[in-house]
Amino acid sequence: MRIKVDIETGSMELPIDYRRKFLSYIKSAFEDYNQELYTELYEMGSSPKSFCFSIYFLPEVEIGKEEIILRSKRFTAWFTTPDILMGVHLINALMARRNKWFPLADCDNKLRTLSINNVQERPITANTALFRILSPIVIRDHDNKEMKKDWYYTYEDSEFEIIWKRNLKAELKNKFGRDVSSDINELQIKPIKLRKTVVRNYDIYIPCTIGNFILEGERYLLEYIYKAGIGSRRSLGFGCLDIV
Amino acid sequence: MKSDKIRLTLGDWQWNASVIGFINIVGEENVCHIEADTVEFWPEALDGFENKYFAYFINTYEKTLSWYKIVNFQDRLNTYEENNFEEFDLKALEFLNVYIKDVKRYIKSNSYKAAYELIDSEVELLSFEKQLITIKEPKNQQRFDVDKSEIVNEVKRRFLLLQQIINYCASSEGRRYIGAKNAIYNIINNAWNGVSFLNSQTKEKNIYSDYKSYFVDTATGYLQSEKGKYKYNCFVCDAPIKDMSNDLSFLNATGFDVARKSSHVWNFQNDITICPLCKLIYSCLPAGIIYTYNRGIYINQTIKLKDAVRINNKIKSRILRSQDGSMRPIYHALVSVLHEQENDSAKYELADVQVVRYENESYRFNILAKPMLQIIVNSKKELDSLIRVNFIENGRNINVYDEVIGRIFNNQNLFTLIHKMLYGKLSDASKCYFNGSHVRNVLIINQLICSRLGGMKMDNTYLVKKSREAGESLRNKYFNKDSNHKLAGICYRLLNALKTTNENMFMDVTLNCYLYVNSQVPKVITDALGRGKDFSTMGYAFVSGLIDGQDGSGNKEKKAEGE
Ligand SMILES: [Zn+2]
Repeated sequence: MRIKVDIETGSMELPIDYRRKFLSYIKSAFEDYNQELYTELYEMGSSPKSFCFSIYFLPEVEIGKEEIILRSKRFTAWFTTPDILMGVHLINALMARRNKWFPLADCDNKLRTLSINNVQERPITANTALFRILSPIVIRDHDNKEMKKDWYYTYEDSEFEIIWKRNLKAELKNKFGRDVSSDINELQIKPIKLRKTVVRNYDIYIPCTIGNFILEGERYLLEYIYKAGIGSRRSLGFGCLDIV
Repeated sequence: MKSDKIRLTLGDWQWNASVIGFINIVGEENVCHIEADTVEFWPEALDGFENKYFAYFINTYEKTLSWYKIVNFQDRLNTYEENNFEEFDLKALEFLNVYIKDVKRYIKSNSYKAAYELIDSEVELLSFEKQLITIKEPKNQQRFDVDKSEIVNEVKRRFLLLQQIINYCASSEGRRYIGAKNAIYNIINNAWNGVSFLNSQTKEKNIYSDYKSYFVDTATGYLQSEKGKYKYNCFVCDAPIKDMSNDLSFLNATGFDVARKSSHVWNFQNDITICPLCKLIYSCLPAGIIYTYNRGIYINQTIKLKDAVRINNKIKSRILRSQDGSMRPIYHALVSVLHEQENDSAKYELADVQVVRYENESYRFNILAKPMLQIIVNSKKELDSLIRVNFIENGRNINVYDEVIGRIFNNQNLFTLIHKMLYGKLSDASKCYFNGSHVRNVLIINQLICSRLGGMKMDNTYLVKKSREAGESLRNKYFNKDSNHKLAGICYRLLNALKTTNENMFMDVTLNCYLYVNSQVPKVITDALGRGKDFSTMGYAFVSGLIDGQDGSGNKEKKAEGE
């Protein structure tokens, strides 16, 4: 499911970690809409949230080091999810905020949801699809043992594909009612203009990947990735994809 | 020669129905219940049995016979003549013409012709048939009024003919023979065929004599015969018999019941030999089953013969009470007998009893398991609302009440029926004689069924009510946007999604509807996702509200809540 939400900002200035700010807007929308669901989504530890999002600033926009000047005062948030019920809840939560101003946390700005659309998904009919990265892909290796440290990989690193596939296997372990590891191993990324970028999130700088790529493999996996997004930190606004 | 009393003991359903039929024919006062499952009677009860036999069918089914349709016109005829045709208008003329056509068709039919030969009368009914012609109908009442005196003269001439036809039929001989012929081809031939008066090769024209000689005389002769040297035994009563000339092949539809242990032998029923007395009893099978429009029902209560007689008689009087040509659901009589029992234990006296239905020329069997009876008892209010609910599907009239009970008896849920109803309402509402509240009641009964079948706990009415309201409210929003023309297409898509229980498709359509009217998807919908039968119930109730939020009691409820 793909949901397109048009949003107006109260003023032109947005902080550079706007993803985090926008997420708190979403969270409080969920909190108002359905406390039970909110708890399940945001207070039950690090369970993977079942939607990802990306933000597209409408021109004109200037992106600086510390802040963003959004002259249009308009942006579009794209949400994707493989779970239709999740999508319905998300729409319901945002529906309650339509045409009302809500402050943006810790900054002198506010947001107003203007319109919500359920956008037709593109059918995947072959074993290959050309993806555009809507929000940067984060590939993270979490060191559970001593350091509790995160390692991030971009497409330029040789570990990128290994870690991505390992994480994907963990994610899909009980998803399709069978072992899909071999199908995951068969997945092939062919880069088209992939490049590295660094994104600031919660005071850390995360190296990630943007651009376009072709993914080849089992259709159901392509479909899943199209809807669920790719990589880590998806609920924070990373790894959202579209098909070109 | 002194004759002994004859005993009949319950056995297989077909035999039991025949025994009940026999008791119905001779009258319960002429038999003696000596044990729970056994009755006795004196052979004298067989005196004039052929007359009692036909009298039973003619009396019981009188109002359904074509004979009755002919003679019943007498009252109208009298009324018009008494007030000198003052009230005779175009409508009356149209009615008369229909009647004339019916009479012509009846009196020249082969079975009527055969009856004339037995009636001692100078009247030549067939010569009337040629003279009896319909009267030209004016275009409208005004034209009728202009020509009324001429028309009335014509009508009077027809009445003269009709009066003679009615007199002929209404005579005691007319009733005796035409009534019997009607009974043979409407009732009796549902149960047996091919022998006696139902043998097309029979040489005896008098049906009474034919029955007497084929069944009754053979039986009484057998009773009086010296059986000492007989080598064979009757399969039913074990009495010695002389030869193997009598079997059950004259009974229709090889009515063996594979569900019952003792019945496997019935596969060979043509090889089963019975005594002439048992054959006579079997000829009473059509008097044990209760028929309505080529369908029949028999309640095979096997423990007490008295109860079996009582219950079947109750159902019979229910079915025949208002049988004036209106189509009565076959199950309604059975269920109303259940409902009219005052206390709970009486309600369940039919638990685990076998119901035999005759439909499409074959027998069908159900056991009335207690959970089914509970569903029926608990949904009395909803069921009652469905008695006259019909719709036409592919040119066939479907009675919702019968469909619901039939499915309950067969341990099925009602989703496919609900689907058909809603689909019918969408595609041609003029063929659907029901409104949203009827669909709601079917849904509520279905919730009961589903909870019996699979341990659903949700309150039966709540989910249906809330979902219907959601549909109605969305419908209103479409009306407010002047977009009601879009609703039919939406409902079709939702029904298709429900038919295949495709939740994603259903949600996709509903979500877009709610986005279109800028509203949240109601909780009743999101809560039902992933919950199997609850999802289907929610979906169908939602669609039914979406199709016709305006009529039925559902709307009143909604208003009461001020939504
Ligand atoms: Zn016998």
